[in-house]
Amino acid sequence: MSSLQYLAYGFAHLFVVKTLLLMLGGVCVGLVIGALPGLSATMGVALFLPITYWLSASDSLVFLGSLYMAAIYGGSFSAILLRTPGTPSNIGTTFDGYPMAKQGRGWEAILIATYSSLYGGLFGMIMFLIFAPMLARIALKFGPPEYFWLGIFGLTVISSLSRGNTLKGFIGGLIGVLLSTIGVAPVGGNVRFTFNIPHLIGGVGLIPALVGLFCIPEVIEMILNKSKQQLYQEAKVQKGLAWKTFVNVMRKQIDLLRASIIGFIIGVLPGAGGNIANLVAYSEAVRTSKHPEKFGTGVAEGVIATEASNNAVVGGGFVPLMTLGVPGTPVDAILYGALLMQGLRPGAELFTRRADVVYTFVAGVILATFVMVPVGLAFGRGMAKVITKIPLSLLAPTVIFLTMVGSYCVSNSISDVYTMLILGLLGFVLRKLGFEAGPITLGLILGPIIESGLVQGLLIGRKLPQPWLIFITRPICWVFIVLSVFFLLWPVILKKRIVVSGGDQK
Amino acid sequence: MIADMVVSIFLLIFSLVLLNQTRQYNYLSAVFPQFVLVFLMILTVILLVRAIVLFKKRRTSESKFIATKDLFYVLLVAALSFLWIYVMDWILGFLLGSILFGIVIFAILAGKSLKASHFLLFSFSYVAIVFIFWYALGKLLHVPLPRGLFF
Repeated sequence: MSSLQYLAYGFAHLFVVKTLLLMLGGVCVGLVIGALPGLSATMGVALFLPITYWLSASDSLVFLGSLYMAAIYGGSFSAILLRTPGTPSNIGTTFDGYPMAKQGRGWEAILIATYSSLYGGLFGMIMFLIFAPMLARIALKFGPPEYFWLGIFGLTVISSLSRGNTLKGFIGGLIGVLLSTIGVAPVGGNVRFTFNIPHLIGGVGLIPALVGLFCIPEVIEMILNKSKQQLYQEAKVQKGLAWKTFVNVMRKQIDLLRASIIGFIIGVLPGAGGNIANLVAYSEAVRTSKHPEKFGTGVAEGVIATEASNNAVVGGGFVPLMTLGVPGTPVDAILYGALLMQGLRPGAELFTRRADVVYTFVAGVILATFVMVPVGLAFGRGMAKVITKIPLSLLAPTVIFLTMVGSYCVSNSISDVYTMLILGLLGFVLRKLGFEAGPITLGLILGPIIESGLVQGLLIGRKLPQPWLIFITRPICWVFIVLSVFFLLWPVILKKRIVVSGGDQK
Repeated sequence: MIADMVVSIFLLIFSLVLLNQTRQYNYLSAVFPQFVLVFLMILTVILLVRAIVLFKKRRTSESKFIATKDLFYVLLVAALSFLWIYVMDWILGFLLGSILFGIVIFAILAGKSLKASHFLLFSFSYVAIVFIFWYALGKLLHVPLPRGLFF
């Protein structure tokens, strides 16, 4: 069957009342989480992941995928009306969205964000349908040495694209890898680094670790910022503006396409997410504009660039997740956990063995992209207003409660809750010291891939004069080696380019 | 800078301890952690050297890690959360433990500005959320939630 036939099969599976309700529920929850400043899409997916344990694989993924797509869009409401990005993927939306709202064009900004999100989201998913099966076919040829280099490549990218300090990004990634080595060694069988704590013999649970590292630091930040005032701007609905704005946005095909391509490519790169894509797309929009001086004063192109790119990241991130088992974005790291929890192994075989689940999931996310438009336009404005009235002192204990429920329900173990809390506090301290949670979690996921690749590769390489030669004698390995070196040198190249151009590109 | 130096030294010592532990493992169990630890130590030394150089040049101003008042709140909430889990597991159970500690944390965070009407409104909403989860997980999905002494 071709991709389109599988997609038709996916849509047929989707049109069941229960699945459709879950998709709608995912969209509603995602919009609320996205619009709540302090709750990111990553945190939302992490919080609701353990609750989906009781659903079927496709239902669970449809719910989480819809939540993810809608949360990225929902973040634009608070970015436009409150000048507070709902998620890190909407930072760029504040630059022009909020000035538009201040000029009394809040409703227009919301409409632009909505249509751009729809365009970017659909673009990303269509690209996923084109590229993922191709990459999956290539990935079937991978052996342990290729997986070793793939993991290393993932680690170099997540670190070099990490916000702020590159060196700390690398160290964070290695801390994550080290956490993944706790427990019984997958090949050698020794119990490692448990410090005689029996709970650690099975290793650090991925889901408690994800919930802890992503949610607890956010809650603590919420507690610390509880006194910050928010400036709400009203967005009055204007009749006839919806269609007029739709026509205007669709006329800006080059802006939409450029932002969507940037978002998709950044989504494909392991570790980089919407937080990077929206800023890159915004700076490219400024660079290529005939009137760069107008950006920041409330121009539609600014909102189009950020909102199309951050939603295109969703489809981009699914490509390496579903084909190689390497998460494209931090949210994909949690979806990786969702796949494992459902007994599915992310990777090329997912397409051949469980194509029904993959394509139902894709169909669900595509449908959710359409559904989030009327739901967002109907309730988004009101929701943003209500959200400003929720005190953070109320939100914090509720989120702590949800993190506890979430980490407990994975294996009904109170030890997982302790793991979640300890890693959460560690994550907060590390964040304060400049180590982001993204590289740490991705190191935690890539660690077992790299270890299995290394150890199994060394065992296979015993027939060669030197076992390690197996890692440099296969052509696909060289592709990853070259890519890894390129991404290792990327921050240096970027720095030199900035110096040469007199800092203009900064 | 000083924070980076402290982190580097801590990571170096910790890496050495772990590297020493790997000597007890067989080759297949030890090769990967050793590979990671050596890389980590190299990067940590670079971080340490950079922090020392920056400290000598004093190019960046040292920002405070966290304000004392904020640190008090963070430590209090962290301590209460650990106590919450412990008491929930052994004494109060999921329902009572979650309700009690959630309300206590809210009251602490809201501070002196807390009005009685807000307190009642929050308590009602929060109890409703906890009750929904308790019923859905414990009664409908038969998840063995912590029972404590009373349930």
